This record gives sequence, structure tokens and C-alpha cells, in this order.
Amino acid sequence: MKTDKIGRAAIHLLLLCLSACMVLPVVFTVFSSFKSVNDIMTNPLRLLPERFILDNYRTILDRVPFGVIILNTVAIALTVMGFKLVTSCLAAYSFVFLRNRFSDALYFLFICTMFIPLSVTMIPNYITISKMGLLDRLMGVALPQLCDAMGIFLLRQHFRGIPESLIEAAKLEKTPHLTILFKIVLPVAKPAVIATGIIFFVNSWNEYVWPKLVLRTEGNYTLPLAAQAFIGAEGSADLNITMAMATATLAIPLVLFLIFQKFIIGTFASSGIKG
Amino acid sequence: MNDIRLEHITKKYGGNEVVSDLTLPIRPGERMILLGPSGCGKSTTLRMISGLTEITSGDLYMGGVRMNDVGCGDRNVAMVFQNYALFPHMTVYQNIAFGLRTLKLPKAEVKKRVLAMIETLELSGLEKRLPRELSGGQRQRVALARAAIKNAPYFLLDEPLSNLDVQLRAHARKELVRIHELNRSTFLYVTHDQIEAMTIGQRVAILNKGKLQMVDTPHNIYYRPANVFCARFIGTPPMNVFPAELEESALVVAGHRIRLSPAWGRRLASSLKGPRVTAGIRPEEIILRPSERENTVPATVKYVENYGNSLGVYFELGGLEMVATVGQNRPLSQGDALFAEFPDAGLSFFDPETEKNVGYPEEYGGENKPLHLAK
Repeated sequence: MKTDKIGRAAIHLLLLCLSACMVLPVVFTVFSSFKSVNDIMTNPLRLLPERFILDNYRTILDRVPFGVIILNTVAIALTVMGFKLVTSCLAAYSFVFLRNRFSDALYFLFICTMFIPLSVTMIPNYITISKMGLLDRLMGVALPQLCDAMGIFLLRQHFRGIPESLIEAAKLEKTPHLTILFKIVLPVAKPAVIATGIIFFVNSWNEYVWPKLVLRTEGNYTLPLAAQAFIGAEGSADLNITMAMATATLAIPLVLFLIFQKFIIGTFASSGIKG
Repeated sequence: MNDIRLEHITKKYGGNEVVSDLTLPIRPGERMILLGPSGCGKSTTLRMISGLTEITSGDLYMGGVRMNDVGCGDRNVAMVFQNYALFPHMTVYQNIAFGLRTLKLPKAEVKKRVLAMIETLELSGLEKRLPRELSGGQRQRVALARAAIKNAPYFLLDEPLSNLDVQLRAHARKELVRIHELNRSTFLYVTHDQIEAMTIGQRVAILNKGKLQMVDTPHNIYYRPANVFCARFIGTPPMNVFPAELEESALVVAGHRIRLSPAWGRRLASSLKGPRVTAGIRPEEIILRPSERENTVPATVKYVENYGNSLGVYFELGGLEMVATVGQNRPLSQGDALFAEFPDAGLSFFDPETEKNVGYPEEYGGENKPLHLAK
């Protein structure tokens, strides 16, 4: 009994420490965004600002077209998320419910593409995009990302947990595959689909390298690119303004995460486990 | 006509033959049961008829049309799955209406039929519930309703009662028969439970290891088993099957002589090659007497099982163990010495090589045991 309690306390303490490691940098960033330059420089390790000021945010609004940048980022993230969900759902459905003897080999090939690093695909993609005349266009950022193996992998795991007999019952009613997908598979796997969508959204939101290659004019920038604009070439930066920019970049996905966290955690906890 | 004809149907998974050379005609509108131990290929057979599993070789005819290459949606079958396969995100109403909605029937018509079905299966008041909010028996009825509402000419059921408790099963069996009598579709029911097979079936097909053992009425399945497997598979406790030898119209069982009637003597003489034979008798046909009589053999009680309405008496007869069922009014205990009588009308004989039934004399009804002789 007693050792049990001590063990539980130890586990909780460990979890608490780990959570602190995750949360503290975020909290520090948010609070620092309300500090003045002097405040940051004199007391770098202090969590709370001496005085809450909004000047940093005002500076950002003055220096970059902030509204447009947010819209750009949202537009790209939503496009990527939407298309990726459609392609992933269709592919995962085929891999799980329209099996033939090539399914596993094909799936394996798809999964292999997850291990191709960005640095390999970057240049061919860049050439393609430029030949299509999509350089410095939002579509140029979104286009190469409309389909990838990660989503297929995650959704396939979840679709596999759906009892085959549900699909068979629908097939006996001569239900077309698209109807089975939309009326049965997606509603049953709804939490997983939403969570996968959030992951796509956040990944696209945070992306830096590829948009940096494609986008040139400030009016087309996404949030991570705009944040970079406040850091000098030699790494010098107005830390307070950078922190404000980071907070702004963080805010929208954070709110989304808080709303859907139940689904996100669920989808990772159950991937690989049937049923 | 909604008959189903399986002709030399075989199903292989890789090199593994799950169903081999199955030929089985199913009459229009009858209740046919596919019965067998787990892994005998009965569910695979059902799935081949539904179209959910491909047929490796052989021909499947439904209503006279070859169906091998027809998709499952076009075979016009209704099916109840073992796990019910209810759509978890749909209410009872939506589940039952699913098939009709896919057919794009007018809304009013769908509503009328669904409500009638809900009424028939006593599901009123549960229309808006989700499957997870229902009890096992209610789920089973929803699954039944979803299949029955199609009014399909073929009704396939894959162990639909195996997840219910005993009381619910008895009720559900009656319900199934009632539903069948409403629309008289050709009813094919897979089970490993012989009580279900006997109570629901008009005819029963027994399968073992992918091979058809016999097809007959429940009455004949019980009293005229086609071979040793059927004899042992049906009945609780099962039929006593034991080796014996024929000696001038008497049966020698473990050193004891049991005189046979002349009818059996003639019958066995004409169908057996040597003196060896495999004999069988149902536990309730054996008569256990407290004192020796003509044509009885001594037996020692080894173990008594109480079935509530009767006792199962396991006794030893010259090294063989047999079981007899007797009424509750007999105070029997281990070690009691008794005398067993084997009435001629209750005996069955099987060929010791092929294990096939050698047949019955006309005096005992031939291939159909007359009702007055059945216990």
C-alpha cells in the first residue's frame, strides 16, 4: 500500500517535471512578449514582466502587413489540410477496404516516402513550381503538400479498427464506396479524422523552409517567414519583438489545440492498437 | 423461385481447403440450417452465398441464375451478422432505414416500413437510441429488423444468437421463426448450437472439416444419423458409439452377448462384409434395470450427472464407458450394479471402415423413424 503511494507520487513528480519542460518555454515566450527591451536584457530569467506593455505588438503591426500575413498562413494551412484529408481518406479507405494482392506492397512504398528528407525533394519541387509559374504565389507553397504518406498511415491505422462487417453490411445494400466512406467510415472514425486534420494544419502553419524558397514579396509571407524578418542576418534580434511575433504565430494553433486536444491525444494513443 | 443450389462448391485459402465439393440444394422458402463445429466451413459457405467471399470453384445458383460473378449488392440477400454490425453512429431508426434509404425510396414509404418493422420486433420507444445504449437482446432485434426490412428473397443469418444469454436465446429462436413466417424467404442459418438447429430448422445440413455429412429433417438428423460423426455431434449427452461383433444374430459387446431381432439380423447380414460393426444407441434408449432380465448385460454406475429433468448415468460395461439418461425418480449412486437393456428399435449400426450408417430394417421404419417409435 505504502510503496504503491510513493511510487505514484514519484510518477506524478516525474510527469510534473516533464510537463514543466514543455510548458515553461511557451509561458516564457508569452510573458516576454509583454516586456520592454531593457526588461529582457536586465533580468533575462525573470518570468513575469516588470510592466506589461503592448509596444512590441504595435511595432509588429507597423513594420509588417500583419493581417495579410495571417490570412496567407491560414489560406495555405486550410488548403493543405483540406486536400490532404481528402487524399489521405481516399487512400486509407482503399488500403483497408479495397484490398487486392498488391495493396500491402503499394502501402509499403507509400510509407517509404515518409523517409525521404525535404532536402532531397526541395530542388525538383522548386523547379516544377517555377516552371508552372507559381513562384511567389501561395498556391506554389501548398501544391507539393496536397498529399503525403503520414496522413495515409494515421488514417489507415484507424480505419483498420472499424469492424469489417460494418462495411459488408453496407455492401449488401449495394451502397457505393463513396457513400460507405462518407456515411459510415468517416462518421465512425470522426475523432481520428479531426485529429489528423489538426496535425496537417499545424504542420503547414509552422513550415518555414519551403515557403521561404517559394515566397519573395513581404505581402505573400507566412507567419514564420515574417518572424524571421525580425531577426538580423547575424542573429541579432530585438528579443522582445521576436517573442511577440512568436506568441502571435503560436496563438491560433494553440487555441485550436485546446479545442480539439481530446481528439489529438486519442488518435496518437490508439494508433497501432486495433479496436 | 427463390431456391439456392450449391453445386460442387469449393473454397480454398492458399492450399487450405475450407469447403470441399459441397453440393446442397436449398428449397424455396425453407429454413435450412448449416450446423457444424467451429472451423467446419459453415460461415464461409454462407459468405459465399452472400457474395462477400469469392467461390474458388463450383457453381452457385440462386433462383435458377448462376451467381458466381454477381456482386454481393446485386444478389438481393439480407444478412444478419454474428456481431450484428450495427452502425454505431446511427440511431435504431437510421440503422433499420439504411438499406431503404440507399435504394432511394420515398421518405414516407421508408418511414411506414421502418415503423412497421419496429412494431413487429417490439422495438417501439427505442427509435432514437444509439446501438451502444441498447441491451444485447435489443441489438440483436435491431440487426434482425435491418435485415428483414429488405423483404429479400434470401435471408442469411450467421450465428445471430451466439452473443445472447440462454433465456434470450429461447425467446429469439421463436422470434426468428415468426419473422420467417411473415415473408417466407429462403432462410439459411449458420450455427454450432444443435438446439438452435433442431428448433429453427426445417432441414439441417451438418458439415465437418468442409465436407457435407448429411442433410435431413431435425427428426432424422437425431434418429437416423448418416455416419458416426453426426451420431456423436448431435444430442446431449451424445449417442453411445462402440465397437461390437456380430455372432449369429447376436451382438457381442465387450464380451457380453446381446441378442438382436431377426429384422436386424437380416439387415446386417446383407450390408456388412465381416463380423465387425460399430454400434450406436442414444442414452435415452438404454433401459437400466435393477435386476437381471432376459437379454440384459451387467453394468456398474461410475458417475451420475443431474440435468434437472433427468439424470445422466455414466456406467461401465465390460471396459466400455456408456451413458444412459433416466428419470429423476431413481436413487442412483456410484458403484451401483445395474443391468442394461438395448432395445432393438433404438439401435443404429455403422460400417467400421467407412463409418457410414448401414441403414435400418423396415420393421423399425427404414430410413425415416416413425414418430410412434421415437422417444
